[in-house]
Amino acid sequence: PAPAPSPAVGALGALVSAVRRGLGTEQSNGARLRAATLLVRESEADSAATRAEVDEEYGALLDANPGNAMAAKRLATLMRSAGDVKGALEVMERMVAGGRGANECGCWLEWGEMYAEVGEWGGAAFCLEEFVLLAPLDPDGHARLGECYATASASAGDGGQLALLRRARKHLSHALNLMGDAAGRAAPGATRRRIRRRTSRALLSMASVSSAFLDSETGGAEEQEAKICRALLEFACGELLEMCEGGEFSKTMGACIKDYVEDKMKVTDLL
Amino acid sequence: MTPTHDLLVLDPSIRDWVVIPLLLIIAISGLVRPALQAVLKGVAPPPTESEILAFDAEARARHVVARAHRTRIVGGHGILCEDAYVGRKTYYIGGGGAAGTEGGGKGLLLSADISAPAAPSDPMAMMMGGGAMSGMKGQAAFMIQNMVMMNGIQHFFQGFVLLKIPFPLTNGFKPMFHRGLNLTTLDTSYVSSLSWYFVVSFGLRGFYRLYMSGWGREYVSDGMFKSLQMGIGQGGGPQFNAGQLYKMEADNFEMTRFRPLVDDAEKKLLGKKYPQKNISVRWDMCGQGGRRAVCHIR
Repeated sequence: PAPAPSPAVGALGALVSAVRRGLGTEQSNGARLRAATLLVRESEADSAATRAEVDEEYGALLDANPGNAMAAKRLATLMRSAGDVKGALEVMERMVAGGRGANECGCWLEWGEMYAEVGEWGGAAFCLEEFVLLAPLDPDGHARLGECYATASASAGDGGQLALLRRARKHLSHALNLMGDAAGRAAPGATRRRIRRRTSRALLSMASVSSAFLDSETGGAEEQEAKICRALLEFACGELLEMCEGGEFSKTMGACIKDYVEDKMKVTDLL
Repeated sequence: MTPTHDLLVLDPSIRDWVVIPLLLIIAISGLVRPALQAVLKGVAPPPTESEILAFDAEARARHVVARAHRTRIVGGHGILCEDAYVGRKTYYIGGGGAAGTEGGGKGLLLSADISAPAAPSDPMAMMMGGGAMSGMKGQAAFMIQNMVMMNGIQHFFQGFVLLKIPFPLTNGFKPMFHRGLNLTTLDTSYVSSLSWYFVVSFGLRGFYRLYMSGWGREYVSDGMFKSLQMGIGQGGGPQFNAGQLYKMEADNFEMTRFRPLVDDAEKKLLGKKYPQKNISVRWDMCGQGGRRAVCHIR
């Protein structure tokens, strides 16, 4: 069941209704007032029928003005939350094709997540590349892009798989470089430790990607690439173990890393 | 004759009846000016369908140019891998091959569909239309108000020395602070009434910008300079030419050289632990008794 709307929403709804009553019919049908009314109705929507009406109204706003970015974003969000991700993707595509949202980081990030939800990793990678172009110094963007390439490689052919894994390695390396630079600039202490902890996800991804590269048939045969992957695997695993050293999580991390390094390098070098 | 450094005693009544009222009048007139400009400009007529379509086309073209520019600048500096950058470059300017083939065709920026907007058929009508005239009406409010204020201050407060700046100033500031006063020996720190008007009206621009940030920048921009620059035949600014911008961006793409950054990220991350390539050199005999070096990389 949908949670009850907060008192602030009720007050906003009353205000919007009062404004509509005060204005004439023509002005109360203006796009901004209709959008404000729809925002209030969204939070009050307690049934599928009401939610469908709200979707329809947003669609009507978009038909009247295809460049209405606010209506497009709300409609895409509502469709996505209702499970219609493909519909949401179409709305996003129309919005960006119409020249709206192409310079917004959040737009590309959401769009990439939608593509990932439906398993279209090529589209997700494209959207994350656009996000990275907008925010080149954001390490999380590079890390996500690397993970997306790695996931896309699983369904690619042999030649394509290696190319995608190579891209994944590079972007994860760049993300770790950016995080390392941030940790180096931070004062020693809690801030630096907090920044270093953010790297754990990227390090695990790096270990996974390097391991997958070595496991592939042709990847293991290229000597130089194999050496690089082993070095990256050793680096990632070493950093992870150092991060968890002495804590309760260290045994779990040790077991996890053993899976990555098994048959690829001497386990005793790390553990 | 010695300069009058501390020989002036200003009557406190000047502060009560001139300085503070002038400050209030100037501040209030600055706050009222945008409303007056809005009344004079009037309500703009609703845009026609062709204007809406033209506006949308322009918005789309601007976004394409912005994305291409970002791809070239940021992507060209190696934020993307080289093959990802080359793929985007091919999308924008084509690969030089036959159209329809992979990597061929002209690309988005050079495709024939993009054309420059048509020149206005009647430039006089464009200039005398709503855009230019409403701008002139808005500037008229600013000019009239300025003239009334300056003439009023010169008429009522001519010759007044209002206040003393608490720090010494060089003689270069005399024309700025001694407007309306012809006293060569007066210390530069003293401020006349007309100078006070200019100092306050320019000094309060930041306050107006904060206070009226929701009204739109055109109401708090420097109307005086705009009115000086405005002349006959000057319309709303250069027209947006999508075709020209596309061509310029395509040419810049051709000239941009890719610099690897992400491609070299592994080297930076691993540092000394980055595995070096083993290079061996073998000397081979070639014709006429010479020899050449052949490098093998392992």
